[in-house]
Amino acid sequence: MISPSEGRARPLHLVLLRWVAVAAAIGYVAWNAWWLAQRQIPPAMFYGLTGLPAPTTGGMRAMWALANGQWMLSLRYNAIAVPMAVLLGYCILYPGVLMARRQRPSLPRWVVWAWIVLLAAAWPLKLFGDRAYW
Amino acid sequence: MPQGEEVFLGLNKQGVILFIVLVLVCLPLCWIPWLVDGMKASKPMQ
Repeated sequence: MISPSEGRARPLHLVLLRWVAVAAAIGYVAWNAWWLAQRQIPPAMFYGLTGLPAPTTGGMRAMWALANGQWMLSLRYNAIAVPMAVLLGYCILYPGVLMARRQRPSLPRWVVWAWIVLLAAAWPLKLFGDRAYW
Repeated sequence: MPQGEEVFLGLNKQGVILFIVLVLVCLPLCWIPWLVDGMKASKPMQ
């Protein structure tokens, strides 16, 4: 007996999407391996390919400046670094707490929307900010 | 709740699109789709 799903061709856009995902994952590994083989710290792939900063670029420098009390410098490196750090902390801690309680790790859907909002706010601030702080 | 057909490593279409965007733009976050139920597939790949 043939089930309804058997013999049904997989939609082309899903096949393409799958291969784009595979290519992105392989591309990331290859990018980092190439730089590491030259004994250099790999630059962010997006920055390396486009010359433009990503929304999170400067986040570590921003947090370092803030830790040293230089809040203006921190804002120049990445004005959204603190909210992103808080959300990242939640994304790590919440599943961690669930796992500690022997529950399946998961994140609520609003987390995706929160990231979209934060990244969408951070990117223009970075792109149109002072290039000296890229 | 997981939904849709599997496209790549247990993710549905939405999850894969988010994964690709995150790999290119913000790699440290690319694991998030695997923890959000709405991004996971309910049906295995055919």
